[in-house]
This record gives sequence, structure tokens and C-alpha cells, in this order.
Amino acid sequence: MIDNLKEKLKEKINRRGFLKVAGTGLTILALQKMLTKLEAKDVLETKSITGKRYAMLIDLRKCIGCDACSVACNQENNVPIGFYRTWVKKVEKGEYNNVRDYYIPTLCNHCEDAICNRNCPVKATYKTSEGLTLVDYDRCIGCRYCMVSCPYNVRFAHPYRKTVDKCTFCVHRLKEGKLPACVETCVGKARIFGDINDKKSEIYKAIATNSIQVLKSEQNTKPHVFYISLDIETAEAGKTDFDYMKYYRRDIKKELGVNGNRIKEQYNILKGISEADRKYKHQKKLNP
Amino acid sequence: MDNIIYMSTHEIPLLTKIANYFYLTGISAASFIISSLAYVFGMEKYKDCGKISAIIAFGGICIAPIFLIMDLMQIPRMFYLFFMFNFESPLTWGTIILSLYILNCFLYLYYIFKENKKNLKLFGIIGIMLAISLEAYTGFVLALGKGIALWNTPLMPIYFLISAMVSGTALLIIIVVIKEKFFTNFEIINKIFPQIQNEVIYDLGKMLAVFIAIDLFIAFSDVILLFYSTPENSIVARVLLKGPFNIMFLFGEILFGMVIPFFIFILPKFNKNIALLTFASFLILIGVWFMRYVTVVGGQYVPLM
Ligand code: SF4
Ligand code: SF4
Repeated sequence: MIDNLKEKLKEKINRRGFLKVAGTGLTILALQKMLTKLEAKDVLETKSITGKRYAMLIDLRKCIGCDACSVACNQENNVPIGFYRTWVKKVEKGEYNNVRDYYIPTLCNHCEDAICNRNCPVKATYKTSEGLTLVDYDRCIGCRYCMVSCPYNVRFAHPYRKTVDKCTFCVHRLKEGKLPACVETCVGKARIFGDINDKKSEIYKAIATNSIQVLKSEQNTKPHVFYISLDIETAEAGKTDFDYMKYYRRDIKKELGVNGNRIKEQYNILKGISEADRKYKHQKKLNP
Repeated sequence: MDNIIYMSTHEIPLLTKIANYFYLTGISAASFIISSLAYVFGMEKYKDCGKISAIIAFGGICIAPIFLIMDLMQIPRMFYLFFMFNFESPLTWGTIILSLYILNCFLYLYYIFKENKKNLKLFGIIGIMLAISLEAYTGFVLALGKGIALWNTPLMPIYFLISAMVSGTALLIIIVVIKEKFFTNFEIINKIFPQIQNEVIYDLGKMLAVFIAIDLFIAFSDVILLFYSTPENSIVARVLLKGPFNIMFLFGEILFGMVIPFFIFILPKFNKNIALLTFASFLILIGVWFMRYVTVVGGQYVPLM
């Protein structure tokens, strides 16, 4: 009888011990999972250790300043009206008889040593192994510190998604083996996109055989958007003139203040954004 | 010669809320340091105003983060700051320092009213280090904003620290004067906060004059260096001196915020006149706010691309 009881007690204790161990184990597992979830970034970073390094080369001799890239980008990525992930800075130089327009298409440089990446407090901005600088929209807290850190002013505060946003080199298209929308649409074939680690690629050859420049090399961010025949004066223009500053400074709140005829526009954008967000989440689910 | 046809529109991401945040953390950190004069370094003279400034320190640091949080675009995600660290980012340093500092301020205040000397000293010493790091980190936040010429200077942390000391001392003078003037008839207040002699205010004024002198010197070095440095920097110097921020900078920050109060505090003719000292302290408080505003917003005013 007593032995029986002892046995039972032992069993109970054992079971309890087992439960304890199992419980702790489970908690640890859950914690670990939580932590890995926090650490998990995008598909690209975890999956493709391919040794690729994406970059873009813009041959300004071929750029005609048609803005097709901006339009294509805005369509592809549902960029809200009034914001740009890529835009073309245009400057007219000289006087009558000796005039020329200069263009600089500008986008995120996907810097090697990206200061935005270093300064983001929650690692919402991150570098993939292919060298892209991306923003995790589910993680960004919208402190906008990256916006003021970036020396190229390429980031903007997405008014509907309420995070920052910027050029992604069309990462969703790259995954499907397509080129970024701006590259594909460029009428003068001024934009060359590819892997600069691949010695046979078009971009590698073009960089090797031309004199190339980058914007603001003194900032030491090692940009990966290269230019051929970049005009310094064009790049610098507009910084010194206070009138321009006033004109180009924007008051986002006033601009987006709901005034009559913009309501419908905004509604349409909102719909577009939620669509894009859904797609983004779906993609994330497919390739966790 | 160049005629700009199109250039990206340019928004200013960080505005008044961030300036207010820097302003309040500055006041809080400085008040803590002043308060520690009495309780850590044993200057008995400042004991009674040390109590007041400890309260200012705690109050300031309770309000300050509200501005920071309200400025986020994703307010519910603010908790991410405590789970996902990026130790390269000054904002993460800030999260850690700020949380520790709030805790420390609370304990420090608690032990002041418990009159527990040993613990008080311990938390005072930790608190001084935290207060200095708190101010320095706000400077680093700006200094590491690489693209912006006005911010990207090693002077920034020390500029912030010293102007914080200026504003903290000025606020203390104002509050002490108000208390002595209007609240002498309340029993409870007199019990907790004993009367403060005018001599203490004069001494605080002298201290303030020294801080202002250092502050002026740093502001001067900053502008001189900006003026003669790279093209970006000289544009920023022109924004400050000739551009849209010149009234705020030259009059708000320098003339009314530093030079006039400085003379009020050092000239023997004025520096025993309590009303004038209070007035000067008010000017300083406004001037330091302008300094924060000009630094935060003026820096972002120049288009980058
Ligand atoms: S261009 Fe700006 S946003 Fe893009 S990677 Fe470089 S620093 Fe970051
Ligand atoms: S706004 Fe978002 S991406 Fe930018 S620094 Fe803050 S959390 Fe990071």
C-alpha cells in the first residue's frame, strides 16, 4: 500500500519535474522564436547569399530629361502624389546661343556604408547581402532620423503608410528576375543596372571603361549609384539661393490638409497603398 | 548663371517638437547637476535650492519624452525602441540613458525627502554621469546626422551641454525668486522649502555668467568655423547670419539670449537687483529655446540635393 503510494508520488513528482522541464524548454523556445522573429529581416538577407552587389550606372550623356523614370517608379511603387523615389534635377546653364540643360536623375544610392542604416534605432533600415538598403515597413517607428542623416535627401515620410519610404531598386522585381522599373523604361538607355561583382555584366564593363563619378563622395558613404559625365555645378545648384530654399521647402501638413478637390485623390492613393501593403505582406508570408 | 528648372522639393522632417525635447532635457540635466552641487559636493549653501532643482530635473524629464513620442509617425511602435537595439545609433544610446536617468532622478528625489545621505550621494554621482551623457547624446544625435552641415561638428555635444547649463541655472533663479516673492505665506511650502537668501541668487548669477561666457565662445567658434569651411558649411553660416534665421539667431539667441543677460549678471550696478536678474533669466530661457530651434530647424533648411 505504502509502496504503491510512494510509487504514485514518485510518478507525480517525475511528471511534475517533466512538466517543469518541458515548461521551461517551451518558454525558452518561444523566447528564442520571438527573438529570431525580431531578428528576421527580409527575404533577401536571409536567403540569397549569392555574392551579388547590385549597382546602377547613369550615363548622363544619354539622359534627355524626360522624367519617364519618375513616372514609371511612381506607378510601379504606388508613390503618393507629390513625392518621388527618383526624380530628375534639371538645371539650365549659360545664356542665349550658348545654352544647355543638364540633368541629374537622383535616387537612393544604396550606399555601402549607409549612414541611414547606422543611425536607425530599431534596425528598420537594413542592408541586404546584395547591397540594397531597404526599410522594413512593419518595423519602422517613424522617427525620421534616417531622413536627416541621409546626405542625399532621398527619403520621404510616407503620408499614408506612416513610415519612411525610399527607392528599393525595385526589390520585388529583382526577385522575379526583372530590372527596376526606371531602368526598363529609360528611353535613352541611360540607366544601366546590374551586379558589379560579375565581371561579365554590362555595368561592370561600363564602369571599368569610363570615367565615373558619384555624388558627394566626401560624405564617405560609398554610394553605389554611379554617373558618367556628372556636372558638379548642376549637382551644387540651388543650395546657395535663399529664394529657392523658400520655394522648395515644403510644408507637408499644409499640402496634405484636406481641402476639397484633393479628398478623392487621397482616397484613391489610400486604396493603392493598402493594395501595395497587402502585396508586400503576402510576399513576406510566401518567403518567410 | 544657373537656372534651376526642377529640383526635388524639400521637406523639413524634424520641427518644433524635437527642439522642445532638446530644450527640456537640457533644463532637466542641468538642474540635476546644480542640485548635486549641494548633495554630492557638499556645498551647504545650495542645499535649499538643490531641492527645488531636483524637482525641476524630475519634472522636466517626465515631460520631455512626451514630445519625442508625439513626434513619431508610428506612436504605438515606440516600444520597439526597448526591444530592438541598434548600438550604432545614438537614438538607442538615448533610449538607454533616458530610461536610466528618469529612474535615477526619481530615486534621487525620493532620498532627498527621506534625507538619506549615503544613498543620496550614490545616486547623485550616478546621476551626474547620466545627466552629462543625456545632454551629450542629444548633441551626438545631431552631430551624427551626417548630411547636415550645421550639425555635423564635434562642437555640438559640448555646445548642447553648456547651453543646457545656462538654461537650467536661469530657470532655477526664476523659480527661486517666484517662490520667495509669492509663496512665503504658506506654512507647508515653508516647511519643505526653507527660505533662500538673496546671496544664493547672486552666486547663481555669477555661475550663470561664467556659463554664458563659455556658451558665447562656443557659438562664436562654431560660426567662424562654419564660415571659413567647406561650401556647405559656409551656406549654413549665411543662413544663420543673413538668411531666414538671422533674426532668431543674432537677436534671439546671441544678443537678447546671451550678451545682454551677461552684462546684467556681471556689472555690479545691476547684479544685485533681483527684478533685473529675473528679467535676464527670462531672456536667457527664451534665447536657449531659440538656440535649440535654430540648430534643429535651421540646419535642415539648406537643400541637400
Ligand atoms: S542614399 Fe541615403 S537613404 Fe540611400 S543608402 Fe545612402 S544614406 Fe541611405
Ligand atoms: S524613421 Fe524608421 S527607418 Fe528611419 S531611422 Fe526611424 S525607425 Fe529607422
